[in-house]
Amino acid sequence: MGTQIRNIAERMSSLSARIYNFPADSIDWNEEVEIGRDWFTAPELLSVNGTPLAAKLSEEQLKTLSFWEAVNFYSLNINGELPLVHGLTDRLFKSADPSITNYLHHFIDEENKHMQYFGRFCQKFAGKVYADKKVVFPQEEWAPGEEEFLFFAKVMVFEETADHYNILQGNDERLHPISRRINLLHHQDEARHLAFGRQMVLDLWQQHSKDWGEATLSKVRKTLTNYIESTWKEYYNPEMYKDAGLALQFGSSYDIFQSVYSDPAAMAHRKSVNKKLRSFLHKNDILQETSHDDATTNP
Amino acid sequence: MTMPQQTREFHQKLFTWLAAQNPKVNVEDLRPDTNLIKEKIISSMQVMDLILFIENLRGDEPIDPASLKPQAFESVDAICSSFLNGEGS
Repeated sequence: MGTQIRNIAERMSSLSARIYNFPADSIDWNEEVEIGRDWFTAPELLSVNGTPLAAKLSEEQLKTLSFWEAVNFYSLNINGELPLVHGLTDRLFKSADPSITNYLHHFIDEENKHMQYFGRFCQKFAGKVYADKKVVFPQEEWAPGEEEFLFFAKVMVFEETADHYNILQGNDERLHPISRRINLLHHQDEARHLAFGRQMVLDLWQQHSKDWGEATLSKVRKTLTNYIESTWKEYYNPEMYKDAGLALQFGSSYDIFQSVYSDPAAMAHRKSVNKKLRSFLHKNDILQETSHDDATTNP
Repeated sequence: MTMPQQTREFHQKLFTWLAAQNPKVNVEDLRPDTNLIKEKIISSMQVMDLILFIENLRGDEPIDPASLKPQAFESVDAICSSFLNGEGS
C-alpha cells in the first residue's frame, strides 16, 4: 500500500478517536412518531418523486410512504453494513501496515454503531428490518487482488450512494427530528469512511488491474456495473409500497416497483446522484464511458 | 403424473420472465430442470430481480433470502418447490 492511504488512515484514526461517542444515545427516542403526519424522507428523495404516481398521491400518502422509505433506507444500510463489518473483520490483521489495521478498528466500531441507530428506529417504529434481497453465488477462482478490489469498490458504491441521501437530509428541517439526526450522524462518520475507501479502491486498482487480462477486467467491470444497479433497486423495494398501502390502490407492489424504477424521472435522479461516483470511476478507468453503467435499464 | 395447473402456470411465468432477462434464451429451450446457474441463464446480480418477481407470484408475500442457498434458484423446479408450493416461505 502507498503512503497516501497510510496518511489517510492515520488522519482518520485520529479524528475517529477524538469524536469517540455513542451516537444512538444522542437521539431522543421518546419523540412522538406518527406515520402520515411527518416527513421521514425528504419529498424530493422519495422513489416516486417526479413520476405520474406521485401526482396521484395525497400529502398524507406521500408522508406515509416517506416513513416506509426511511425504514427501507435504514434497512438497506443495515444490510450493507453487516457484510461490511464481516469483511473488515476478516481483513483486520492482513495489512502489513499497522496504521491501516488501526483505522479498520475504528471503521468496524463506527459501522456497528450505525447499525444500532438504524436498527433501533426500524424495530421501535416499524417492528421490522426489511430483508436483504441480494444473493451472491460463490466464486471459486479469483485473480490476484480481484476479490479485495471488488470488496472495497462495492463498499464505496454503497456508501457514496447512501451518503448523498444523508447529506441532503441531515439538516432538512422538514424531517422528523429522529430521521434528521440519524442522517446527520451517519454522514459525519461516512465522510471519513469515504475518504479512506476511495483511496483504498484506487490503490488496489493501480496495484492489481495492470496484471489482469481482458477477461478479468471485463468481469470486474461487469460485476461493479451490476452492483451499482442492484444497489439502486434496493431503493425501490416493493415491500415499502405495500406497507404504505399503495399496492391496494395502484396494482401489485411489484407493478409499482417496475413502473417507478423505469420512470424517466427516477432514471434521471439515479444518474444525478451517482455523478460524482461515476466521474471517479471513469477518471481512473475503473469503469469505461462505454460501459452500460448508468442504472437506467428497466427492471 | 400430471402436473397441477398452478405449477404449470408458475413454470410458464418463470420461463417467460427468464427469457425476457436474457435475450440469448428462448422460452421453448427452457425445461423445469434446466440449470439456470450453470447454463448462465441468470447471474447472482439478477437473483434479486428474480426474488422480487417470485414475491409477486406469491401475492406480494416477501421472501427472506438470508437463510437460503443459491441452489434454491438452480432451476424452475427448485424455485417452485422452494417458494411457490407452500414451502420455503
